[in-house]
Amino acid sequence: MKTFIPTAIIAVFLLCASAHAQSGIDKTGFYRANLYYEEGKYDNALKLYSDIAGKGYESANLYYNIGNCFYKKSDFPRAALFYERARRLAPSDADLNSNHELVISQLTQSYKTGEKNNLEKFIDWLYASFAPDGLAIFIAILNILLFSLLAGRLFLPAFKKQFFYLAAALFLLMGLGIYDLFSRSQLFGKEAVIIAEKANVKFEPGNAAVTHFTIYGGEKVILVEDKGQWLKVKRLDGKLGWIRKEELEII
Amino acid sequence: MKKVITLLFISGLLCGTAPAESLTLSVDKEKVVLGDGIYLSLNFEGAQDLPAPDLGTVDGFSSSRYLGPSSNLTIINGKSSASVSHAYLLAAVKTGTFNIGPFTVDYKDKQYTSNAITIEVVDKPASPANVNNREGEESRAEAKNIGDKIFLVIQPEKRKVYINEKFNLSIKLYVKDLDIRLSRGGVPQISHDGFSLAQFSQPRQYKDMLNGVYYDVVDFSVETFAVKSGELSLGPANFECYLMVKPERQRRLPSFGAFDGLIDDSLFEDFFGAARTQPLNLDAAGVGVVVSPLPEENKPANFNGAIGGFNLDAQAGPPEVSVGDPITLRLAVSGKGNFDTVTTPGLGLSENDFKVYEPRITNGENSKIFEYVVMPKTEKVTAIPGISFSFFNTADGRYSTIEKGPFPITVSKGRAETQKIVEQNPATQKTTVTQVLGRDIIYIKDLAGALRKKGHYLFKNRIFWLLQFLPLLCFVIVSLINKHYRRLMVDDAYAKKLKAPSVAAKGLKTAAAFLSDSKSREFYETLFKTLQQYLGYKLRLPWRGITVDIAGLLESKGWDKEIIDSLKHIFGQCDMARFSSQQFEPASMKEDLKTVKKIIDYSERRLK
Repeated sequence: MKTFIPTAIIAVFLLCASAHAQSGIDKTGFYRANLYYEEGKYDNALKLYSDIAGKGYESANLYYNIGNCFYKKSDFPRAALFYERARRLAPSDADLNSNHELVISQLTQSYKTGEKNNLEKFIDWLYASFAPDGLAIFIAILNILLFSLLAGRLFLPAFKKQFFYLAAALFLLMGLGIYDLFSRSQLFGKEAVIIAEKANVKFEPGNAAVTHFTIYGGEKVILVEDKGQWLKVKRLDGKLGWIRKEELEII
Repeated sequence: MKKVITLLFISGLLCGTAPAESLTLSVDKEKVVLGDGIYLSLNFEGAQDLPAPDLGTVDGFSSSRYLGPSSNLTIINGKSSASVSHAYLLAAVKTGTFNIGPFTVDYKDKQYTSNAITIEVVDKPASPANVNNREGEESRAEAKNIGDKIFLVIQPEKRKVYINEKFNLSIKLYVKDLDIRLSRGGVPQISHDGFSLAQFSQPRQYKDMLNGVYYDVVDFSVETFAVKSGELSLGPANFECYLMVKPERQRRLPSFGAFDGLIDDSLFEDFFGAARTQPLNLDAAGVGVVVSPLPEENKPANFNGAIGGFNLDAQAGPPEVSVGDPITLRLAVSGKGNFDTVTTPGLGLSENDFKVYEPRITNGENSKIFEYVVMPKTEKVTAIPGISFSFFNTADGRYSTIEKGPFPITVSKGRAETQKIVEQNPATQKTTVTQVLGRDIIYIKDLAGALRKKGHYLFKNRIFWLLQFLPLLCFVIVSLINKHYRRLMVDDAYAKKLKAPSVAAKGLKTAAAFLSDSKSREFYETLFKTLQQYLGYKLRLPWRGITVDIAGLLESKGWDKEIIDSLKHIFGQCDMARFSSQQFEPASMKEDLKTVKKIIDYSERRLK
C-alpha cells in the first residue's frame, strides 16, 4: 500500500506525458520552412509547413507559422483559420493572440461575437488560458488534491472544517473545469472559419434561395447541419443560414 | 393420460370451429351534422388477426382516423367463433348524401367485401342565440360544405409593387360555426419564390364580414418585399389546424355483433364520447403580384436604392470649433419604407478639408440615424457642404431628392502639431499627441513545438478518465485503514483480540526452540504462558488469572470435548513440569506442542 499511491500518481502523470510525447517526425522540414520565410519565400515555406500538417501532425507553433505565411500572402481569412487552430492548442500564447487580433482587424467587417452569460464568463476567466490537454491535467491534479484533502481530514480532525471548505472549493473548480472541457469537446469538428472573402448565407440551401445575411472572411461559425454541398451554420451572434461548403473550412 | 385428453379436447374444439368468414360495415348514425364525426366499424367474423384495412378517401368526409381494434372469441356448444372489429372516426366536411363502402380486404388469399352504407350529411341548424345575435345573417347564403365554413385566404397589401418595396402580406384563416384549435406557434407555410419574408408576427383575431357573412378571422401577418421583378406569385399557402369533432352523447353506439352485451356501453361512450381532434389541412391558392423594376428615367445620380416615403433631418454641431476638433453631423432618415435599402448617405466632403470617420448607425422602428464625426483640417473651412438624399417614392412612383444644408461653421486655428483623437463618447475625449505606429504580425516561431498526431487529446483517452477514480480508491483504502487504527487505539479488547494469534505464534516458536534444546521446564512454562495470553486476549479476560478452570467456560461455549480434554491435559502437563522436577521425553513434548497448536487452530475457527 505504501508504494501503491505514489505509483498510481506517477502512472497518471506518465499517461499525461505520453499524450504529449514527441513524435518521431523529422523536423528539418520545419526549420527549412523557417529559412524560406526569412527570405520572404512564403509559398515555399507554406509548402513545407503544409507537408508536415499533411502527414497528420500538428502543433501550435506549426499552425502559427502557417498563419503568418498566409498573412504575408495577404490571405487574411486563411491566416485567421490557422491562428484559430493554433489558439485551440495554445490559447494563452501572447504572440499568437496579437497576430490573431491583427488579422481580424484587417478583415473588412467587424468580427461578430456571441453573448455569454455570467457563468460562462466566469468559466472563461478561470480556464480560457488552458489548452484542452492542460485543462485535463489540471482537473487530474485537482482530483488528487481533493481526495488528499479529504484524507487529510481523517488524520487532522482539528482542521476538519477548513479541509471541508477547501475540498468543496476544489470540487467546484473541478466541476467547472469538466464542464468547460466537455463544452469545448462538443465544438470539435463543428467550428469553422469563413475562407471566402465574402459569402452569402441563404435562408435555404440552394443558389436560388434568398440571402439572409452576408458573412465575411475570417469570421467564425458553428456548423449545425450538413446537406449535400450546403452547410447550415450559426454565426456567433446567433444568426442561422445556409452556406456553400467550399466557402468555409473546419478549424 | 391427461395430455391425451387435453389434446382431444383441443382437436374437438378445432373441429367444431365454423369459419363463416364475413366482413360487415356499420356506423353509429346514418345522419350527421356537417363538421360532426361518425364512428365506423369494420367487423370481420372468422379470424382475429385481420390487419386494419386502409379506408382511403371517403367522399364527403375528412381522411379517416383509425381508433383501434377489438377482438372477440366465443365458444358455444363446442363451436368457437372469432372476430375482430376495427373502429374509425370520420368527420363530415360536405353536405349531401354519400355512400361509404363497400370496402374490400384480402385475407389468406381470399377477398372479402363489406356492405355499403349511405350517410346523409346535413347543415347545422342555426341556434336561437345565433339568430338573435346576428340578425339578418340567416337570410344570407348558407354554407353548404366545410370549405365554406373554414378557408384560408392570401391577401397581399398590394398587387402591384416595385422591387424592394416593403408591403404587408396577410394570410387569413376564416372560420364560421366550427370549433377549431391552432397548434402553438404554428404559422402558415407559403411559397414565396422571389420574395423575402420576415418573421410572422403574432396572429390577430377578430370578426370580419365576407360576402355578407360574419366569420371569425385569424390573421397571420408578415412584412415582405420582392427581390426580383416580373409577374410573381405569392403562394400557394398551406396551414394545418385541428377540427374538434364532438360526437353526440347518449346515443347508442354501433352494433359490434358478438361484442354486444360483452362491452359496457357507458364505458365505451365515455371512452369515445370526448371531443377528438381531427387534423385539417387547408390550402390557399397563390396570388399574383406584379413586381416592377425601378424606372431608369429621372433617376438621380446619388440614388442608392432607398425605396419608400422618407424625410431627412440633418443637424451639425458645434458651429464653432478649432482645427482637429470633432463636429457631429446627425442625419436622421424617417418615414415608411424598406429601411434595409437606406444606405449610408455620402457626404461628399473634400479630403483636404475634412477628416471623416465611419458613421455610427442606429436603426429605429421607422427611422435610421447616421451619426458622422468630421474634423476640419484647416481653418479655411467655413461650412459643411449640403447633403442630399434620394429615394424612390412608391406612393407616386417618382424619384425624390431631399437636400439639407450647407451647415455654416467657424473654424479657428488649432494648437500646433496636435491632433485630437475621437472617442465614441465625446464626453471622454482626450487630447493626445498622435503617434504613428506601424503594425505587423509577430515573427514566426523558431521551434516546431510539441508536434503530435492531430486529434490526439488527453481528454479523449478513456484510461485517463478511468485513472481519475484512483484517488477515490486510495481515499477509501486510507479511510478503512484509519478506521482500523482508530479502533485499535480506543478499543483495547479489539486490539488484544487481533493480537492473540501473533502472541500465540511467537510463544509456539519460543517453545519449539526450548524443545530442540530439550529444556522441558522452560518449554512447558512457555506453553502455559502462551495459552494464558492467547485465551485471555481472545476471551477478553485478564490473562494472568487463566488456569485449567477456563475449561468450564469453554465447555459452556460449546467447545468440543476432545479439545477441552486436550486443554486440561496440557494444563496438567504444564503444572507437572513447573512444580515438580520430572523430566519429559522429547517425543511427549513434541506431541504436547502439536496439541497446543491444534487447540489454537480450533480456537481461531471458533472465536472469530
